[in-house]
Amino acid sequence: MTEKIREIARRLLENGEVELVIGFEKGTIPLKSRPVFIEKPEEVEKLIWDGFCENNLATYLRRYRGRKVGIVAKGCDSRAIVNLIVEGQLNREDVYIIGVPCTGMYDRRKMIRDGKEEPSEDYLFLNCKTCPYPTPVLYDELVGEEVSPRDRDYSDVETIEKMSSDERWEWFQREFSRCIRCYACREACPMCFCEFCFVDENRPEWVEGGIHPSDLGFWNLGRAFHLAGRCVECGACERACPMELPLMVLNRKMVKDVKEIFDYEAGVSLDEKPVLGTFNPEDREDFIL
Amino acid sequence: MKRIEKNKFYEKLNGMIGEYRVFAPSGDRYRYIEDVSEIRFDGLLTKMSPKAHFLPQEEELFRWDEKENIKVKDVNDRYIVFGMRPCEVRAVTLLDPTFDTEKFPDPYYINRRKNTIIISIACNEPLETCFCTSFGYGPFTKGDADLMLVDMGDYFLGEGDEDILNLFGFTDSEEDYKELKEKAESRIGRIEIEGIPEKLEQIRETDFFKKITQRCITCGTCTFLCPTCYCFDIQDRNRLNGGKRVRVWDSCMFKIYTHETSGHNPRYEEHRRMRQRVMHKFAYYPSLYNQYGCVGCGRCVTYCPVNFDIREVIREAGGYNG
Amino acid sequence: MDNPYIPVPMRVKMARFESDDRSLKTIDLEPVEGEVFDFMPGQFCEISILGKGEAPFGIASVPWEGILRFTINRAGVVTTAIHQLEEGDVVGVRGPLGNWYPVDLFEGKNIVIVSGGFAFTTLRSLIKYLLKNRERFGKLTLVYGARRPDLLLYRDEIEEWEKSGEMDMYITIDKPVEGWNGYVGFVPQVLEQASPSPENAYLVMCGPPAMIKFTLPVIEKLGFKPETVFTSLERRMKCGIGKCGRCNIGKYYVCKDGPVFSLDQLNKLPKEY
Repeated sequence: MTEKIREIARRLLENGEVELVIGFEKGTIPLKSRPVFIEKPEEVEKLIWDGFCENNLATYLRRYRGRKVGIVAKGCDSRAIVNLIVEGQLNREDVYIIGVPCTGMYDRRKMIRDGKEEPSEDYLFLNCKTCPYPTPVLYDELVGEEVSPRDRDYSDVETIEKMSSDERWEWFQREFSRCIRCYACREACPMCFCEFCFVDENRPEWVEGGIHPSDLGFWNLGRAFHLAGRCVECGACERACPMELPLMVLNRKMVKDVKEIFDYEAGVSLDEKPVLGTFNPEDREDFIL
Repeated sequence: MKRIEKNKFYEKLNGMIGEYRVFAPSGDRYRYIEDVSEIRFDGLLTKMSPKAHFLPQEEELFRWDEKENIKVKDVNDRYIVFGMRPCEVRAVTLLDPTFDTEKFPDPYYINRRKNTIIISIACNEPLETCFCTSFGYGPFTKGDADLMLVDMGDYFLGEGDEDILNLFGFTDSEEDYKELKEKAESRIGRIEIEGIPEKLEQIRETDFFKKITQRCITCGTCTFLCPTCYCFDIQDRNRLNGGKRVRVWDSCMFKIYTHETSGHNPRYEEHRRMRQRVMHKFAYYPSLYNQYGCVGCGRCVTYCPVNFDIREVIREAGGYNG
Repeated sequence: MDNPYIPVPMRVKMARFESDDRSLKTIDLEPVEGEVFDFMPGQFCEISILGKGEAPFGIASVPWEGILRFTINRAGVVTTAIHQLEEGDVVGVRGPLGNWYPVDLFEGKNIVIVSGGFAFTTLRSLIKYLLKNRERFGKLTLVYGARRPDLLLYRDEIEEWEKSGEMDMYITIDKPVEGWNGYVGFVPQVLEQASPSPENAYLVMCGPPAMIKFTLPVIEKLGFKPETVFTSLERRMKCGIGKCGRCNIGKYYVCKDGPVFSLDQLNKLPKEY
């Protein structure tokens, strides 16, 4: 697949179809593949594809608005691109999507802790093990064979749902008091693109700065709520978090609820409208009244 | 050299909790411990550095009551920070020129700094990401620590303040750590730092910073984990009967860091912020204080979500002919 | 050890709006206890409204006036709170902070002052200082412009200075207005018209970025060397004492090593302003 990606990138750059190609290259630390920005055809040899391409490259697309860019996208990344287009942040014509059907990314931090150098099924991220859209939903060119969707499994969310109110609070406090408000989650997420995030506002000041547990809670819950109906479950946030917070549990709870209540998944089709921005007379009202 | 059995050392340290507030590694960060059993070394370095003791992530400057009478907390604590690595010790001395100044001394920082005993531990097995020796010191440098320990398995070797050595009950020893030191130093990958401040000033207005910042997502991870970063924000908090003014960590990498009320933001673009970060550590600090603002601990390299590698950047800057 | 973060209480002695649209307000502060501290023209203070925050403002008065005068544009949380102040209200002040206009260098020289809009505040302080010690300085020239007459600050004092004849004054507004007898045109053009000589002269300039951008080429054209041109920079500030890291440009902190810089210093710094 690496060869194919390089070939496509070379062609796109040589024809001048795109100004640059965003892909992955080998990192400088063990088991890490990192974003790379190829501007010249000679540089395409840097591009690689492996099980450690864990970032969501769609988060960079808004920096290149109005310019034509090529982008290497896994299934979840392509959903993010669809969602950005649906929310009016990108023009379809400005992106050349090199779709890569994805068999999953490996948790490098877990592997390093266990002293493993070779990846195996056990080390796939949870959201990859249960991925509903491994094959890109939108692409200009597909690199490789389509991959079948995996079985959905929200047991991580259900474990918390089954807890009593006190147990849930205890879990939440314990895990999220470790947050340091570095905002790596927000910056890694393609759907977090507000010019002024709610935590940056001071008129009114919605959340105070600092690390008081209630502010940490407000930040993480607020972000999860703002992603409801928009999150594409790519896991970039959790992978970016230096404190390894269980961010995906919160986000997957939102995804699960939105599917149940509105039968909607973000970023699957260019024809859909954002679920929480659209009123449908058939919308359930039981959670309002 | 002096030596002490580990369990004897920890017993004595445990006894000092109460009289002193002891800040020690406990998993991914340092904490004020109630008992030495909470001390846990998860690898060589904690994620969050011990700068959080000298410059807490949230610190009250003063508070006021309904009549706006201002009151500053009277802090008379004494502290011990245990388990700091030589890089982290050096990082604290790099904070001194900013906070411990003649003209506007920062009383909060100075109070903590003065009343803290620093007990460091040398690094027998540096990480692949360490590059401390690039800055003229190493994994066995005592520096400003009051006491430096060397982990020898069941016992510590120690060197430092006579009174502190006696307090813990160190005894004489013929051993030294020269071999361990040399072995550790040889494992560290140095970066070429000679001439970098001038080179960075030369390439300051070129495309260099645009190029290297492409993959940076401008979160605050590197700055918060960095033991020498000190930028902070000051915020007022309103409470029922008055309020307080606090300072909290801030990051030059955040978009709104330099955002002015008029709407103007001199560092709106990502590459301007990265330029500020790199040059602050490798050009401005050296020109002001003759020391680099980086200690080579490698945390930023390990935890950056997109593997922005400062070692690589410095190497590229050195050879840049834009 | 003095705590440089603690504001000193000061009472509002006078508060009045400057502009018709009420966007600019001048306040005079006097200490609740004691005398006003000594300071030099060009320095600033951090004004503190407990519960809202702090913001830096250039001092527009001189110490012998016994008050601290500030003219404040309403823009955000702190400035809105300051605009709501009335006589008798108490605020906190930290100061004097920063460096000042190099009046030592100015001894015996001609001084040209160029300003626009409400950036004029610290220049009032400078002008009053120069006028008090008039014999120590040479020719004084003032080029000061604003969009409309009501956006010119301290108009009553400008009239006094004009009458006194101690300074060559070129007061200008952007577009003609009925009843206005002064110059009409942007500051760079009026400066070029005034054409002050760079011989034995220093130039002090304070204005909005747009004005500075177009005035710098005129200054160069007139022959002023960068070491003789001074300006006062503004940046978002928090601590005001060179610690929080926010206001630095290159190796200088605007709050500690500035806000007054020579053009020659600025040319060596990254253009982040």
